[in-house]
Amino acid sequence: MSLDLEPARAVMASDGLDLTLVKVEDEIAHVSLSVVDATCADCVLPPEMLEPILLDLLRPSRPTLAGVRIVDVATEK
Amino acid sequence: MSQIYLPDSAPGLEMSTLAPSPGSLAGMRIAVLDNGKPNAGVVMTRAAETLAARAGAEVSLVTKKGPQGNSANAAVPMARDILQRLLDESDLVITGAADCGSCTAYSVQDTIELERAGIPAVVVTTTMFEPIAKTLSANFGLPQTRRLVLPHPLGGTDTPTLHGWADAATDQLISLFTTGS
Repeated sequence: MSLDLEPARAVMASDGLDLTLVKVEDEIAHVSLSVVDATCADCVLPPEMLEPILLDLLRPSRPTLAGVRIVDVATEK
Repeated sequence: MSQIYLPDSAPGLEMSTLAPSPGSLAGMRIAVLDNGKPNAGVVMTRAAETLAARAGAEVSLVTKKGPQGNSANAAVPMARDILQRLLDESDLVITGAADCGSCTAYSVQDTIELERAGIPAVVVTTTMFEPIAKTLSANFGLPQTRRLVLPHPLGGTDTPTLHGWADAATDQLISLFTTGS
């Protein structure tokens, strides 16, 4: 079953973040965040708040998705 | 084989309901709580002024959310002295702008704190961040927060356009404050 990242990527981009899918295991999406524009460092939510938001944004394309886990946050510049 | 369960657990989420909605806004005191995001004060103050003129209310307070209202950090809750001023000097609050991740979280939190204190509060968000505001409202215990959704982005948009968006939102603000939706 596919997983459309674009709705989540669009929202994350507004905070200067990009989102990459690492894997889906047992219907848990493991994702990596990249900071691509750190002009608003305070804008980024902590993982415990961000994960349920990402789940809501990703679930329309994969209704069976049970959770999202942020496994890495990388700074690109 | 016996199973042993721990008798303790994490505290459950405290669910809330909206403060009672007034039947009419006539004579009401409207406050603007500004988190300092670009153009938040511009669009919310205009919305409050237009609403007050239309409904026979008054704008009683425009303040930033930091201590003494002198500053604002969008990534923290409103200062305690500002909460007290809002409780003392207003009947309705327009707050925001919820147009980034953390500022959405704390604007929603401020909104819920005001509703729990009996003050109807509208959080101003944008089309991009409304899904986040909705999710966080549920996660913080008040899924039905009063949310005014404006176009995105507020920052970088010229003042006449912002004023147009604010003026166009008057009917929705009246509905949010008087019916909750």
